[in-house]
Amino acid sequence: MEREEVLTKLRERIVAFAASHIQRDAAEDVAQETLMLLHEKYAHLDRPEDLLPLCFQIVRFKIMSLRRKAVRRGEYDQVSVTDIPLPDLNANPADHLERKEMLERLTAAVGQLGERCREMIRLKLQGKTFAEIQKTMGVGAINTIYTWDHRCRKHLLELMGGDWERGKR
Amino acid sequence: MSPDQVRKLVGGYATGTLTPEERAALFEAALEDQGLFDVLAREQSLRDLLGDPAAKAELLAAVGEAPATWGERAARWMWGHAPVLATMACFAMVGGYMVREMRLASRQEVAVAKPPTPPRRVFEPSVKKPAATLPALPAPPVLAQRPAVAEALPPALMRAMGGAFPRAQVPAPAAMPAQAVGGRGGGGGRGGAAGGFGGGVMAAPTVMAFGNARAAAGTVASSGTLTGTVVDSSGAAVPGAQVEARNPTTGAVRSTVSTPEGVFVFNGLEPARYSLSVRASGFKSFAQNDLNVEASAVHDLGKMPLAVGALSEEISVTAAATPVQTASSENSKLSGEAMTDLSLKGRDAFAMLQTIPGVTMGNTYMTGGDDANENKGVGALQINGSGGRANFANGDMGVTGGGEVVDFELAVIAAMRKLDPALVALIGTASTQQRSGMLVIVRITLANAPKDAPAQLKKAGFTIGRRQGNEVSGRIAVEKLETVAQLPFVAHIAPQ
Repeated sequence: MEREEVLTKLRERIVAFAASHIQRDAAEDVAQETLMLLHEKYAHLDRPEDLLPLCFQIVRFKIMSLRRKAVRRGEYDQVSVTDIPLPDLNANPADHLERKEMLERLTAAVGQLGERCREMIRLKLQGKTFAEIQKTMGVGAINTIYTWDHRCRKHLLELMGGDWERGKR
Repeated sequence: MSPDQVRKLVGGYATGTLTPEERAALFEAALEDQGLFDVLAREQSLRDLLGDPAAKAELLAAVGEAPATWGERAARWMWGHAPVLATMACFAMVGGYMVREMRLASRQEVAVAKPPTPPRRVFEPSVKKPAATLPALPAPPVLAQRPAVAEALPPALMRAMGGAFPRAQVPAPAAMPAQAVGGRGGGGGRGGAAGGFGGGVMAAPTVMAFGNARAAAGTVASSGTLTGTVVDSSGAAVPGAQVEARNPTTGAVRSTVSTPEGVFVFNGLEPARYSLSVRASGFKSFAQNDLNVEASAVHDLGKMPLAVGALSEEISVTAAATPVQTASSENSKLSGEAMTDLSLKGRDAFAMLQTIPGVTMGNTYMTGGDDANENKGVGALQINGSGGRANFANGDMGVTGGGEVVDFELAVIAAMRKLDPALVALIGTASTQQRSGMLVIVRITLANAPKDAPAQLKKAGFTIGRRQGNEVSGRIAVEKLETVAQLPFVAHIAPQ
């Protein structure tokens, strides 16, 4: 798949995703800024498996940034609405606090999972691929591992209220 | 791979454990499928969280230990009973040696007592031969003449036993002296020196084990962590980079390899200034000196970019002032810029200030009347438990009651100390019940940077209040004054 084709599809996906969280106009802006960033800083990448993770990261930070601006009082006296800075991908204390809250919820939810799910999560956190997990757990078909992981993730997400980040959406 | 299978790969995205083939299949599918794209996009927050080594480790700990296999359980049991097993092994070895010596001695004695050994077949049982024709067994007194066990032992074993070994001390497991059997902690060493061979043999492993335990306990209390992410010039992770942390004072060197995400972590570092070097094939080596690792702190170096080039070329960086540590809250400082980005979701600026170690919040209150000459305080942010309200300083403010919008400003000593050179000010509305408005972080760059800036600021009458006007006087020269953040606040007035 050509890079241009990938970016065109990516734009479509980003707008649709962002529009489910923020206003349509802002979603268009997010998509545009994300693609600009991919174009300027990551011009050497052209495969979907390289571009999509970057895209997810940028989109997330942009949406977070917009949300923070929206709830901040007096922001329009300080920063021009059109002058939206690129997101800082490095963590800041606010991110740290949010991650801490998320980790606490995640830790509590994980404790409610069954032994098999905890084992799956443990092995994944140890960096094992699905194939390695299959071997470790002595399962005959890798599809079984896919299914177990899918169910475990779904269960974990339910325990966390349907969203990894509660209260953001 | 079927579409159904591809959708089930989502769980491997956050943990970064997909194979290249799985990644390609998943992201190509996501490009075509909006639903899958949305799921992956939402998964990003979890991926970001797990990208933090400390968070990952905490979650891993929460998941718990892996159920042990039979072999692991056996190994764990053996390790847990190592002292007892080692003692039993020693007894078995010595006992076996003694039995062997006794048998040899008995044979020698038999050989002395009996006539020249007849052919072996003579002693073979035969129904035709009467028992009386067998040679007589040696008498008990002859047995008593055999050499003492201790004398039969080689000198090396005797030394290991701690000297002379009287026959009366020939040990049986059940009669083992408690001091020697225990062999735990320092007692084992003394037992060995006192002559109990069990203690002597056990001393080394037990002392070593307890040394490790003490070391481990010390690590928890007094070590720091150094972490960072190795990236290339485009910001992409560099996996497999050799990272080395050297303590120039002690010469101790720790090394590790960056993960597929480019992350490296050195846990349990002794507090010191470290030199860090990063080497990866195809890149110039990277070195950073004077990295101050403090106890109970996570020092995150952030992204460490490697430039393309030969390993022989090295980029050396000397650490400047420690940046804001975002990997953990320990020993961190809060900048005005960080406050600017503060999300108000479920918290406020005071809560944010409390993320600074040592800062605690007392009862939020406002006191005082409308007269600007009276002292009025807001809140009770405390630094390391001291000072109470004085830390969130009394300041001069011009306030008129009844909800009139007024400007007032408080110079906050606590914030001054931690956010130097920033000050926190409050601008807001006042009523008889509460005051609300904006918490303003004001960056003040002092020209002469006095050591006791807060006190001197107060002494100099530094206020920006409506009543007193913008005044800067005294010995403090303010070079620059700028507002870097504004955050809403609500402070309730305590009943008078």
